[in-house]
Amino acid sequence: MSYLNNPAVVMDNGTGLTKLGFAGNDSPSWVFPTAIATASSSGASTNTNASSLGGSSSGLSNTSKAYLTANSTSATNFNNLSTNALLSNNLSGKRGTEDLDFYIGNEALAASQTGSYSLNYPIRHGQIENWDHMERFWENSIFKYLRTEPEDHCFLLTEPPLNPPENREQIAEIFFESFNCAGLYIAVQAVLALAASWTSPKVSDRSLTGTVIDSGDGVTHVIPVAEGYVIGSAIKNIPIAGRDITVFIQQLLRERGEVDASLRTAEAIKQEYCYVCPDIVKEFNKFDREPSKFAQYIVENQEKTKRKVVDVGYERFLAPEIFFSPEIASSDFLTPLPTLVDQTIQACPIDVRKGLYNNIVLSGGSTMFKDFGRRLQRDLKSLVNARIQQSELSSGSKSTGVDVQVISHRRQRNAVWFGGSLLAQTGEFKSYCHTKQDYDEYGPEIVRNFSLFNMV
Amino acid sequence: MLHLPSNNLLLQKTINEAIEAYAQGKPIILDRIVSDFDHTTFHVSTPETNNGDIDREQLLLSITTRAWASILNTTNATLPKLQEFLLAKLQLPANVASLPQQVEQGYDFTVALNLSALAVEHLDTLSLLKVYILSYPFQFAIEEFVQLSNAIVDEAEEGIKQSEKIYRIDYRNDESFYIRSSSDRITVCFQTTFQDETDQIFGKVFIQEFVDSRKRNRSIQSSPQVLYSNEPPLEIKSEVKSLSPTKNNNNFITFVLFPRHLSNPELQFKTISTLCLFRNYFHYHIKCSKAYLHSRMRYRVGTFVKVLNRAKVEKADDESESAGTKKDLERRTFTGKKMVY
Repeated sequence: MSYLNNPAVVMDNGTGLTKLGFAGNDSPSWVFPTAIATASSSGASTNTNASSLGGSSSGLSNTSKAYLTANSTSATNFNNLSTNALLSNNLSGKRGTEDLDFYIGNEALAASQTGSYSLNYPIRHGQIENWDHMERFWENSIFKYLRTEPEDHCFLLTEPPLNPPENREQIAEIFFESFNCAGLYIAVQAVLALAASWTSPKVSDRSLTGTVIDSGDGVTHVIPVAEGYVIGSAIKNIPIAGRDITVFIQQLLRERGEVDASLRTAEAIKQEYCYVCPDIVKEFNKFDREPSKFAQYIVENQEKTKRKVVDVGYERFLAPEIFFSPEIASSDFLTPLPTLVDQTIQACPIDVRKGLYNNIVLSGGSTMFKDFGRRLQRDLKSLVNARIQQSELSSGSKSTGVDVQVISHRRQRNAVWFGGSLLAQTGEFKSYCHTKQDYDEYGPEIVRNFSLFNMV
Repeated sequence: MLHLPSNNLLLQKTINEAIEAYAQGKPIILDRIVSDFDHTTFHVSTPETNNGDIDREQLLLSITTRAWASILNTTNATLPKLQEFLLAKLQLPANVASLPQQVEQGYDFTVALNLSALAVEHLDTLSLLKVYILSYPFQFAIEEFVQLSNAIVDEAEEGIKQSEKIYRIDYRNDESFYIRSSSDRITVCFQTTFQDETDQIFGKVFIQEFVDSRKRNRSIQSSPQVLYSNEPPLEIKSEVKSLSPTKNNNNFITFVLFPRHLSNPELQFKTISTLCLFRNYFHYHIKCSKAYLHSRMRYRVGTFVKVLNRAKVEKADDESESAGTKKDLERRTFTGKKMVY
């Protein structure tokens, strides 16, 4: 088989960011926004004035020059090529190459500034909304960014929990019919996040049972997984995630009247200075006693000529606090994260609950705050212990106790991608994939089922 | 993206990361796999010194490619010769790049880079490493071509002399390309197969367009002539080995390069790098066309669904369907969506 030696491609297309890379690597090769900039109709007509090749000696060499010399990240790359000169007056002349005039990722953001491109986000709330855009997004990410011939590689894609099976079929249709990919595996993000936690020294047995707290930019999910299967009925989510924290910091900066209160500054402060404290009142006192706790963030403009100094104060611990006491930031959602995790696990079948409490895994950028896991574990433990005490009182018998353990590890930020990379580099991965032959034989419905990884 | 870039973007980015981290005084330890078309894999890694420490100043870049063995074979070159050639092609100063004592296990070629001297400008040639490897047999062919064409001038002879040597490069498992020079041209012939019947048909249309557009369009008259057949062309017939049993799946695309495509080293390189990417470019566009067709199909289905949604069912008899009246009010389309008027 021709594709056996090639590394599998792991693609994690999220609402905000897409993570692309090869199995076996420790971090994704590319992380860029899941955005595609397509030519708006006005923009396309401007470069139809057929320019000749300028009397150069060879058309072949002329076109090749354009992409050899130009740095590939420039937005003008496409327009520089005199594409229309290559069109003859038969079929291809009637249709231009507008469908290839698009950019993805960071280039898309840059191209949309020029005005002739419009920016689209094909994924909404974790699910693919626009298949046309997504197909072209994949096309470009495979051929330009990863430089792989899909016929030679197996692909591991991710999907959100509760993704309808029709969406899986659509993905399979695109990957097998358009790209002829050698093999395809679609994994649930939460399961991959569990697999990524195996790198943590705290994890002793490699089981696929646990609760995943996945907090990205838009929304935070609490997902219980039992033996590799998501317990869909118990999934809960909070409308508090990375963006809300950033906005909260921005609000605090504005109220204090800082010189720079842009969203970018707020985001930088969030990433660099914020941490979770065990007790707000004590932390306030600590700040008042030790002025060294206050930090300063320096904003430089692009030319590095002007500097602005922004003071960073209580928001260092207040911002992540909105997970634990949401009332300080929002008025409509008031359940703290530990309570929600507890509710989620209580909604699951009773025989898996111990496993779920025992293995709570964090994933996503908004769980990266220092001591986030420790605080969650403490709060959750007190909730569980209170319940145990109550039941001991009412029943009179002694409980064996429930062990609450929150696992945070180094790969948390791209946990889903990393879990995918971990699983796809194993020897068995290729046997779990559905191949092109299977697809041709049974049709798209084969991707409704994938066998689970049972790793020992 | 109409054209595929010749250089490897990811390789560029990965090494750039290492340079930047080194410049900031926080060198990172890399161990990354980067892939390229045609069974090519790069490995960027931070080496270990003899006593087991990690050498943060060095960076090893290794490459393995399917074509390597056949390039060595067809050019009768020794391994050190090819390595020297590649090192020279990279055009990096001696303090930046050097050949390590041995090639990394499992890879074909390794170059050691010195991060303290490596600059961003050096990335351009590094990211073209695969093209340089494939250009090796081309160099031989061009030399022969020059010799042959000079010989003709000296002897003032009529007629065309063909080189005896055919370079055959197996760049994929069942696909090869062949180079043969003669006194007035170099013929490059690609043998390609299609995994899928649909691809086969798309491919035919594309190749026909390659052949035809040159005839029709005056402004690209200077491009190389393109020929297509299902049979191996006569020039290279003796070398062709792996023929697929189904006649239709043997596709031979021949490019005829004239002296004007090879007149100076710069042009030569452009020609070679474009040719090296031909197969990928070709298959990429087949996939793009399929994606385009899919989007047209989705659009068409969307319009049909709209028509169906507007269609109203005549009111059913009230007596026969008395149950579930409330549900009937919420009419749904066959796709399960709520109707929008």
